[in-house]
Amino acid sequence: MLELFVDASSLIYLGKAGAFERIGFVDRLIATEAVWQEAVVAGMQFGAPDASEISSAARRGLVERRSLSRKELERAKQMRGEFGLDRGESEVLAVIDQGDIAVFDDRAAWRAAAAKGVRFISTLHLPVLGARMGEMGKADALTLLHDLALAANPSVRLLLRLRTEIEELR
Amino acid sequence: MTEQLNLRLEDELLTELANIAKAEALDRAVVVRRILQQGVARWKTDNALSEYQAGAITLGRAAEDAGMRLREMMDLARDRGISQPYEAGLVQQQLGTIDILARSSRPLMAVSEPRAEYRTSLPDIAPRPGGALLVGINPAPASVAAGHYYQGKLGRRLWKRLAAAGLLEAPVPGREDEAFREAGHGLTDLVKRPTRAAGELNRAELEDGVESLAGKVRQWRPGLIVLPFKQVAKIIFPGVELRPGLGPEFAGAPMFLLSGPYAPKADAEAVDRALAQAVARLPASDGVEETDAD
Repeated sequence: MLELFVDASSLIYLGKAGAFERIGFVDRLIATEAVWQEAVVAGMQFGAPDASEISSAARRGLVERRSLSRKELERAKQMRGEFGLDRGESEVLAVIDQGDIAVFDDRAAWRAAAAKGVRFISTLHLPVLGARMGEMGKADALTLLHDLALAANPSVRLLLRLRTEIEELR
Repeated sequence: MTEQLNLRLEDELLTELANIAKAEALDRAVVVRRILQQGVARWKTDNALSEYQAGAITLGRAAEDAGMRLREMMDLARDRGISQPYEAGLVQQQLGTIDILARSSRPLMAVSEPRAEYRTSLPDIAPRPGGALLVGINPAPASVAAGHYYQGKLGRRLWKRLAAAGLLEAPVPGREDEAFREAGHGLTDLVKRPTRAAGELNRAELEDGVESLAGKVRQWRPGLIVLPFKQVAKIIFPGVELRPGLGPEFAGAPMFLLSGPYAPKADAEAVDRALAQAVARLPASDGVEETDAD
């Protein structure tokens, strides 16, 4: 069972790229309360179509909301100050176990995860994962990567690196 | 709560403020307050974006610091053409995670204590500053399964040569890397993904590996980089024809290329003597540190 802890940017990029239907290899995306508030509640206020996509993925059971205990909230607050994270990212690191995977899209969050011994990938790595697991064909993975890149505005070098990773799969 | 702030302004600026107040049909103090508010908001946004671009904070945090929503900050970063610079080591780390996920759907183990069945690579061993750093291309599956570096046939021969050069003493067979570490020396690879043959690695992985290695060398400051295989030297110094022995510097550290396993005996012995001399010049050991860059 593949469960990933996501931050708000990841949900937004997936929503913008219309990717929820295409990542069938992921069983659940776990969104903490602050992540949900930013990605869905604030998005609905903006009238952002991706917020409806996320909400609909939650109704289908792909996205699951996770509330935090008082102790976890305290831990999140501490981490927010320590690593330059937003509320959602620090909540993810406060609830995640070492064996779990976090999906983050920023260097500061990657470094924080590494410092905490938490494994992480970016949203743009999801097509590579799908292709490596044999759950997506190369063409589908490249199309998804392209759509996510339009949403996430990554560096050209990262995009090319991930393209190569998919193209050179046997 | 408000506080009075007295400012001395040049005539030219006062005239501009008066013109704006007239055009907006507002009191001059109101205009000054509005402009200050806009200036402060602008500064907070610029500062947050610049910290984001430098990697000090995330985009979400930049939005929070600037008093904006994440989607607004995403749009702003895009409009200003701001994306984060590529960082090879972090990207490689993520591809390593994908490797694990793709191989097994079982629960993952803690990063600090991988069990053999989940181990996907070998952790880096940082040398003490001034120690030697042995750099391979990527770990062999046999070594990863054993949990120790250079456990193939060629690997065991390599350890003998390194021991003869004074880089390790009294190793336990199969755990030579531990004796190497105890002597204050370190181990890493250009790419951490194990493959049966180096030819299975792709160009981008190797390029990232060179960049990542440069970062490690700058951080660890070894006194000597030892390359056991010419193939590694060719990747690090593309287009340069290198001979076994002391070579050019890489990221501020001198590099030593060993002779190949099939070099004539006399040539190999001469190179090994030169290595022993280079090792003798390394500063004395004063401690060991370890990192897990896997």
